Amino acid sequence: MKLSLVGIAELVTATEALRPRGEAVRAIAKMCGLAIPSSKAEENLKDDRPSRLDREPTSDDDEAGASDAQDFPPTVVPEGVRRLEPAPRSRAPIPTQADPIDSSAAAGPGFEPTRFASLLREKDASDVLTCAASSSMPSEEIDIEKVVDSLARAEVLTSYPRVHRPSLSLGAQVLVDISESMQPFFLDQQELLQRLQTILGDSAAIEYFAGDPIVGIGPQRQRSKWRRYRPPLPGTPVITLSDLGCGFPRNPGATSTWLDLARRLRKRGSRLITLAPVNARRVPLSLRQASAVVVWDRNEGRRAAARLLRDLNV
Amino acid sequence: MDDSDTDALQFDSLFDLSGDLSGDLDPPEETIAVARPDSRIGAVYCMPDALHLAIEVALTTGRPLLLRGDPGTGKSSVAAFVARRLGWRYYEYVVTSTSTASSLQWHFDAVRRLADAQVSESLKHESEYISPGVLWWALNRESAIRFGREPDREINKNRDPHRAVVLVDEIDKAHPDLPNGLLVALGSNQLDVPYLGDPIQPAEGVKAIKGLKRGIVVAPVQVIVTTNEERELPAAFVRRCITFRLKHPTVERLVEIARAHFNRPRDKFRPGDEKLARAIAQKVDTLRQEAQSGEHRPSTAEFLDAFRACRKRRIKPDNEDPRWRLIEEISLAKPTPESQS
Repeated sequence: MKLSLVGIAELVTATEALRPRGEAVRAIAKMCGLAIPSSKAEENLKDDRPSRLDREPTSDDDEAGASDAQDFPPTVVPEGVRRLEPAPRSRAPIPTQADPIDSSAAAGPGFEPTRFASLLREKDASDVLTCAASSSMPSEEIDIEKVVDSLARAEVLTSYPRVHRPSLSLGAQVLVDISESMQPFFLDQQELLQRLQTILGDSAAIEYFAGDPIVGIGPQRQRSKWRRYRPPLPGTPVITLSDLGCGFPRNPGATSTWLDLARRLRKRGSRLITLAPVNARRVPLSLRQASAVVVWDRNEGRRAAARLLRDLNV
Repeated sequence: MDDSDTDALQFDSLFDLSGDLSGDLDPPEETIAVARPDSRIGAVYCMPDALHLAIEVALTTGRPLLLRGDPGTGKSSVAAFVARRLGWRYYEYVVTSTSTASSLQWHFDAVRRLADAQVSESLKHESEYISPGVLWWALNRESAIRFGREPDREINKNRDPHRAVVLVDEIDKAHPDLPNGLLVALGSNQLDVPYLGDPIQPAEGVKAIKGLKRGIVVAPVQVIVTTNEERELPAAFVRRCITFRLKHPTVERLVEIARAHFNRPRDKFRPGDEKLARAIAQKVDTLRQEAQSGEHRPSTAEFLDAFRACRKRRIKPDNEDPRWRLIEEISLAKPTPESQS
């Protein structure tokens, strides 16, 4: 925590007035922000689960880097600046004496099964989903600026312009990708769907697809009932839980499909928002520009929600 | 800083914020305090030492007090209690997603002015369409009263006309612009209202608080801000606040809270009540510990609701009793449709 002159002045004032002894001095310093970490830092400290995206690079990453080279030009290092060597990475030792999947060995005293921890923090998940499922709708409030502007131009007002606010009233179409590359995220998808249903109720239209939604969407376990994709009512946001073909293994043909879908939806006034459990660098720039791609990771939650809200222009 | 960090903090207290005021309540107010658990009378608050210190630090430094903590930990009740204890006026504003910084300061009724403008004779000066917000009422009641009707007049009628406590509740619900927009007003104790010539400031000639040591100045307005931390607040705003985190109380503390709320001159808190409070508190503790991610964790407010219901209906927390099982479900566990299925 940085020392702030404001905090020091408060500490001095409070100490003079209240004459604290012992532990109370430390307590006042904390209240003035001189020693206590921010709530964000506290949460980060508590959250010892590493990001799933912070793993060792694989050969797939290298391929992705090559294919994305047009989106990201190589960094030019100015003359005189010395590049530092990357720090050596340590690998956790793999236990050899016990079978790592032998539950009988693990179920000894004090054994606790690992709890499922979702990709987004609990607090952020609802925020991100609410912002993603929102559409810009006229509220009851009259847009005074527009009224004044019209009157100043001596225009006749035939109706009161309204202030637009984020609204969940249109619901959302939710497309869930169950292709091979998304299988490791099945529980994350289910947890997010539960949250979405809490937020939107019946107005969340959930459909499943495998890799390409244009080919077919439908109920999760009845592929025989899958049908061709049909967009929702104009203006309704479309939320996809997919790696957009940029996961492992990569599906190079998927980008054009998603670009086409994003364009079709935009024409109908709908936003395409994708929660993708992949590093942003793996998603082509053109796709990130054509739709809202949220990196489905716990380091992104708050920023993503703010960005989605900003995109609504309300 | 939070209320579990220390047991007894030693400092020269300037204000008596301990104990409860239930004995001082007029009979109608006592009825309200019992019948309406969320009334803003400020009758009772079980004040931990560390929170008491935080309030005094905020009062002596003139900074807003930012209270963090889960819903139901008693953040919003602090302000009304402090106002009553100090004898200061009390105003509150509950923030929503559409609130702006000016909502707390003033409101301009442009639609009424537009309507009046259609009939040229009735158009008044712009200042006639302004109504004061809670910060204006707190800073200068004398000027605010010329522009509108005072909120919570009944609560404030016999309190210090020059000093006030303002509760800004759930600031995390607002857009980040709101806390940023309040920085100047809270830092300078001054509001600029459009169409009024002079800024709104505290009235001149306010008498010093009796009994305070020489040299100690206490600002006439104490702002208490609460957040459930659903959104991160701007760093610039947090830096200008005294911060304190309220945690869920222990079983013993819950019993103490029940005693403070229900021990009234004409209705004493008896040993049977203590036994009941302890049993419900233990149940609350168990439910909180066993709650999985996303499941409901009962709060202090819900503990008091369950205690109130059981005491009134003479129900004991016995799993064999269907009435208790119902009270547990509807006031403490509150299962979601998913967890029920």
